[in-house]
Amino acid sequence: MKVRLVDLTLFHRPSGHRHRLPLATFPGYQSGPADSPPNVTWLPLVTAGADASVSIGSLGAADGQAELRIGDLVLRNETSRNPGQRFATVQDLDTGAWLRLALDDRPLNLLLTGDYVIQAVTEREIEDGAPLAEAVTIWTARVGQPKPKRTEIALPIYDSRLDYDTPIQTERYKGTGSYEGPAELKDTLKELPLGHCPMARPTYLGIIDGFHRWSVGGGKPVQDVPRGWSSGVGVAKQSGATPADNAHFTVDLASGIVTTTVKYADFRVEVLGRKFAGVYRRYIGELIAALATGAGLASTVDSAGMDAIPRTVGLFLAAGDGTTHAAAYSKFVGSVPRGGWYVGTAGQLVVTRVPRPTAAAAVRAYSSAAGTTTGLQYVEGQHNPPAKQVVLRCAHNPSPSSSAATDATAADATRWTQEWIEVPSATDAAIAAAWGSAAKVATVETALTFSTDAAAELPAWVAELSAPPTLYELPALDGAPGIWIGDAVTVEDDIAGFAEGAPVVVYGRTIADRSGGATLYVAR
Amino acid sequence: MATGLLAHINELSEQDGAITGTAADWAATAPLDALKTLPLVDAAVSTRIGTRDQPVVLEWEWERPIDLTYAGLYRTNLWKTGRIRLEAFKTSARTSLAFTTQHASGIDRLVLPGLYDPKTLRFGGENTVLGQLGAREFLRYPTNIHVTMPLCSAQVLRWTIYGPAYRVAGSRYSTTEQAYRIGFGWAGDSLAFDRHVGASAEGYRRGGKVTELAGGGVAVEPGRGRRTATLDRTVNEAGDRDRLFDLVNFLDADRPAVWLPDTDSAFDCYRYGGLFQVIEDFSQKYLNDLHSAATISLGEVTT
Repeated sequence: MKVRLVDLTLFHRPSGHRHRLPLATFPGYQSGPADSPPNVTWLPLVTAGADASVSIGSLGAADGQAELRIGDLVLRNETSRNPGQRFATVQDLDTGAWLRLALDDRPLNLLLTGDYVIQAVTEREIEDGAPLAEAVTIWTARVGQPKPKRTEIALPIYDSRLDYDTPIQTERYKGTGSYEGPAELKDTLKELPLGHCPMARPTYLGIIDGFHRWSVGGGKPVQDVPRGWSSGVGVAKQSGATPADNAHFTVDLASGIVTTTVKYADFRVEVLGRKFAGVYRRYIGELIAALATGAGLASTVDSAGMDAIPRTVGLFLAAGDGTTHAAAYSKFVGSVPRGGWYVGTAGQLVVTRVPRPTAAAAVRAYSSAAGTTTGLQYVEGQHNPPAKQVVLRCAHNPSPSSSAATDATAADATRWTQEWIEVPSATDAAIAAAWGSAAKVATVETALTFSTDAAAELPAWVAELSAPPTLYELPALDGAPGIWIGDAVTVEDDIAGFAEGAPVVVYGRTIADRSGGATLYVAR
Repeated sequence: MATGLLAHINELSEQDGAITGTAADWAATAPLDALKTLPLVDAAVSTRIGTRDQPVVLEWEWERPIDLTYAGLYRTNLWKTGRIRLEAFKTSARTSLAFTTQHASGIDRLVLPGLYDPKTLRFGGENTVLGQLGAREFLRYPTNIHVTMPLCSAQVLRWTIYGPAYRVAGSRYSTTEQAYRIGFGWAGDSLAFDRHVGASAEGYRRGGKVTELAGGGVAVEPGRGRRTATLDRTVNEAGDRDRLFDLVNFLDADRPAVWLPDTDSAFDCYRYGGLFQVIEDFSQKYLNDLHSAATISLGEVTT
């Protein structure tokens, strides 16, 4: 029979160390002398595996947000009249040592006394009696505040993804003058250019050392500032410390400070953004990786799926913006069809494109005739007719003006007043004929910087929006261990399209259903 | 029917007896104290296998001598060819033996002693020579060691263990495990309990989760079942009636009890006996002024 091993990572307040408490579902587990760690007991104090699920939004929409359902992990806390002292084996993660911790009559009171803060939980599944190395990781998550009852403790668990609801910008202007800005800027978040921003409004810092200074990089190094505009009129970049006249600007790339001779009424620049540890990042995957590791939110990032075809994106976070990591990542991954980001089973951040079912090799097969699944269930949702034309918007100009100055060139003036560059696809006559006026034009606003990239992504978007995937729920009676978002499985069922077996791609799953097994959210 | 045994007071846990052994013999994360408490999965694990000359020894000691008629070890991983010796000493000086399982000739008991029913042995099977339970049957039930003795007063119990240990993985097993595991220990007095023909029964409650599928299919997720035992006493005298009532009162729903169906047959005890809990409410009905009838329902402790 399968046992779920639930390892709680606790923060021990008195010592400041992190501890690991091993618990399990019935009948518990004890590792053997040859396992690593050896001879450790996972006490059978967990009622059932956690009731949680995660999925990447709705496929077919420009939305890379991962949806998650908060479930509760229920731990048993019954008292025992056995006078013998019971112990739990706890590992001090900071020293690596294993401790025998004496337990109260109610074994899990230690979680409720305030000495411990529960940080995270890892669930693994193992066959009863098997060597520990065969355990498969099901889920890694964060834990909320415990909800105790007399004989049980419910721990709300949630995807580590919620850690990313924190602002990207962390530094603030001190408002002490000079490069820390005037007093009015005190405690305003410093601006941050991410990727290649086609049009950004720098923060004016005032006159410092006889010249007007603008900050475009939040005080940190940027890759380049190739062009500038003043009310639509081009301002050229000059090398050197200070510009010669009011038609030029200079930039100090190490600090992101732009110097001009005049305070322009409306000054914008194109900026190739922040360098992370000395490297300029602008492809979707590498940019998200740099942001996540830089903020300490993830220690490993797998962006190979996304950057296999690298696309340049740009997002300028103006001073005081406060956009969160999650919001920014969603904008980035939403720029490509089926893009998504989520936290994987080992706690690593994954940025990828969920493949089409035919593009990925199926890892497992489920069949309702063979009894490995009770059958596919249709999911309510995507019932919009396909789009007859897809228009991609790229190269975002965050606050376009209504007019440019009279001496602006046509090119500059167009760029100045236009919010987006649009890349449309050809209207699909077949769809227009079949659906008539029900088939609409789909407009997707992306964070892509180059219209060439948008044009290259266009066929995939058209494929996605003109033939939106059908979504199903697949109950996997074996619990689908090891299957995660992006994997493909083959399903045979006696409903339309699956009689001969067909591949579907997994875009989400429940971790463990209370009734046994797990449910995969699949798309065809 | 044969004389059974029902024990309800475990002096090892109730009096918190001291358990000692050579410190180097037992793993730090799974020390001997794990013997005093359930769950069974939290076992004491040794660091080596005992041999005849260097066995693994552990001792249980109390402040005052206890009345002893039964001692046992539960959920062990000793292979059926392993050997066990129990010595009970009258005082903590360990000089005067109250009881020993060692035969006068110096031979120790096998983990599963006795000759199995010869009619069931197949010539050439792996159990032909020693005449024991086959490996499959042996592994099907928890390896519990039961020792019964005539009433004696003991302050120290010494267990000596040597021989091979096993580990089960799925449907395979290996007998080269290098550590002993003992889940729980028991020592104390007991009731001699004869089951009466009537409602006495043994049962098995299935584990596993059965899902009925649309269209007639059945999917089963395997689990661990529980053995049950129903002890029926169709006629009790006043003394037995009182002792049974005390027992059920003490056990309530949570405390474990030991049930052995036949103290003379090690195989019956292996298959049908072990660590149980009372799983139904108890009532005794009067047949007349002096005699009552009662049934106790027990379910195996598997946690």
